[in-house]
Amino acid sequence: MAEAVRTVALTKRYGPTRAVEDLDLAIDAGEVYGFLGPNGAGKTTTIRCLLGLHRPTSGRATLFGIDAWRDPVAAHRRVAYIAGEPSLWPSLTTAETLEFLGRVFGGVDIEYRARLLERFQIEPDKKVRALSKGNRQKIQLVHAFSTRADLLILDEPTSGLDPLMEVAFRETVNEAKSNGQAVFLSSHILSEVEALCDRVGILRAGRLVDEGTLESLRHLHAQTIDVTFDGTRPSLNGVEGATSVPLGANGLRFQVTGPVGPLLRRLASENVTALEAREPSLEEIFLRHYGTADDGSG
Amino acid sequence: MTAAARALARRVVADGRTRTVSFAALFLLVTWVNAAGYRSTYPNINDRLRLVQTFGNNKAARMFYGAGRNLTTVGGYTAWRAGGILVVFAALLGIFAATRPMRGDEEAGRTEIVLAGRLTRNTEFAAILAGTGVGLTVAFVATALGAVFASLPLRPSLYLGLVVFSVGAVYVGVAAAANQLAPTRRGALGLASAVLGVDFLIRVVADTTDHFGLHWLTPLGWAEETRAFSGSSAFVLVLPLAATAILLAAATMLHARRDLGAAYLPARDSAPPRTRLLVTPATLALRLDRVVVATWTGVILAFALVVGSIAKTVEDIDLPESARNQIAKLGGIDITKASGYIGLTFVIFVFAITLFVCGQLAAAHDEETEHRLETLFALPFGRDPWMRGRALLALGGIASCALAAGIGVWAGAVASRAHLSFVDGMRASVNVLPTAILFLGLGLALFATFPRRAISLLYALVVASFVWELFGALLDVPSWALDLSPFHHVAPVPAKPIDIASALVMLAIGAIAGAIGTVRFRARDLAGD
Repeated sequence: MAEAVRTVALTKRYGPTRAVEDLDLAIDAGEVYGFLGPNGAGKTTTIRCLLGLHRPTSGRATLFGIDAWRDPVAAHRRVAYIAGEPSLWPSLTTAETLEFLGRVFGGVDIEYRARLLERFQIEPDKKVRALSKGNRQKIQLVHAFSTRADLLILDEPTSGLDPLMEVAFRETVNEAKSNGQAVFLSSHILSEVEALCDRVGILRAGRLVDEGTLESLRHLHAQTIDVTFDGTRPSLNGVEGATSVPLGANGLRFQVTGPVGPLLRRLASENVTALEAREPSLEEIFLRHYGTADDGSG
Repeated sequence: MTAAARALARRVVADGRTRTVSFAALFLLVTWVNAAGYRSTYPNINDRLRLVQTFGNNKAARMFYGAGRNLTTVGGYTAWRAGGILVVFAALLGIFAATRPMRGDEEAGRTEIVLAGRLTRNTEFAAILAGTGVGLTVAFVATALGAVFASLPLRPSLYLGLVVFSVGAVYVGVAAAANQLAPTRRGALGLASAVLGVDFLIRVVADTTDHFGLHWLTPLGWAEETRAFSGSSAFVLVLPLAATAILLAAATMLHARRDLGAAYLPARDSAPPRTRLLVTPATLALRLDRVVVATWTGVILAFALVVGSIAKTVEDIDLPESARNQIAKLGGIDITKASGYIGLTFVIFVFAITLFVCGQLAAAHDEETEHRLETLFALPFGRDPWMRGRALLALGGIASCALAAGIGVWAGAVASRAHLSFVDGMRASVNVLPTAILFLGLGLALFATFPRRAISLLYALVVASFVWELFGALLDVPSWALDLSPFHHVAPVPAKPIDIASALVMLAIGAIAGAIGTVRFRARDLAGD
């Protein structure tokens, strides 16, 4: 079976601006993929190319093996999309909007939709024009999930949602996941991605700079080891794969890349009173990619 | 004014610069072409007297421009033909110029940002009015300059500019008040345009039935009573001045007392679901635009009824034989017959219906710029069927409006016992279609090719073509230049048969342009930010 999402050397330029550069993505059916990047990194552009709303300058983008630029209708039959900025028809009510979107999609799971309406606490008779951004976002969410589409493309779906609705959203994504639906979750909310995604890709200035499971990403990146000594801290320079900075009066914080054995062997001869090791959070991984320069815009 | 208020006023002027410059060019050209053209086309008094006898007393002409005075002078003629139509454009300018920065910015959430700063609501309102006033002043200068360039004396030229300005000012007031009543820009535009429509209708009835007393009721009537270039009655200007002051004072008061984003007309925020028309994007568009189509159809029907019911008075004119011959030579049709007068008048319906087409394309354009097309095209729904649906809806609206025009003139004529058959009315209806379809096709091509500028370009094209048809003949230009305007190829049906060759050419160009539009739209990015 073809992958849910596949891009090969996908590149999109707007005049001189390079929005997406040489992007290779492969997301399997049933996989939940987190697409991370700050504002302007090229996340939305990637999605617009995937959906065939914008034409790739070069390279290819397919959904379940179908090029959405060439044949959008066929490609979209198995895909539901939530835009970051909910753009709906102001004079329609919520119920009317859902009815329309569902009909054009070609039928939705009515029972599930009713449950979602309740879960997201939606008033069906309110007109879209009278709704806040978060409430408009909820209409999109209910529609997208009620399609039971094989692939959900979500572009910052929780911007505008309150914490209660954020919980409802995570519950719904997990339901989709256990249903075997694939989810492409573009976000800059790291906790959300960390909680939901099997695999993560980090986009910077239109290029994919890191990709893998959370486990493998953590493994590849430095661990943080805080060590407290009895008395003054010793000088521990030149340990293979480790750098240190002072921590408090008598401690050191090590960043260790690769195996921790050499450091442990050196520490064995010191008066260590406490040792705490932790893997990097997604936030630390993310910030490391962006920490050095601020040219992430584009 | 504070620095912040000045900055806002400058912003309003800058945002409206395309509109201001286009209108200014229109005002200058129309004034200049009429004055200069008249002088060269009717050099001696005999020609001018003949013109007054025929065209000047023609009801169709009066409908367009009002009742003329001193038509044997360059100034009198200019005030009649240029002034008569420019006051309507000045009203439109006033409406557009005021709704955009007021209700438009409020709807888009920009006003909230402005008011979060150091401006009070009253200063903000005053600053926007100041910016709008600058745009309107440009129109005043352009009109006066157009007259001066054609060697008309300075003082009455300035007075003519002032008359045009005064109508624009009243409609800034009307639109400012409408902005308080309606919750959306579209709604405010509709309200203000409805006032203008009624105003125009009253003026038409006054001028075509010789009930000149009606002039005192409305701004367009006042403008006619100011008598530019025919013994100016400057005191009349007190009326638009007072009306503007009252409307602006009322708008300021209403504005200061309401919540931001709210309006005095009730906005229904909830409704039970009605899903019958929510099947495809085309039926959705029908649901969203059905009120617009019905309004256009209704207004055109009402206007056509008036045109039809005046037809009888045309037949009753007892013109001498010599004048009749002269008229026959002019256009080959007899304007003292109902069919001749209606044939000449019908071009205004053709123009109105092409404006309806522009509105339809503007609605399609809004769907794209407000990103709803992105929502739609992420569904399994293609661009081709969407474009077909929009075109079909526009065609349906065109047919509805054209039918209303034909039925209206027929019913009006029959009611007043003029000679016009139902078939004549229907032929006039059919004659509207080629031009409207031509502009629909061109509009689709523009929409697909220039996603940002398409709508302004289309309006410019339609208005320029119409103005060229009205006034181009006054200039000494070769006939191919006049042929450039599609309106030039609208035969005066029912007085003459439909010009099949022209109709086919227009339909063909429309179809080709529409096809180009479909192909190009398929091949471009959706407009995003």
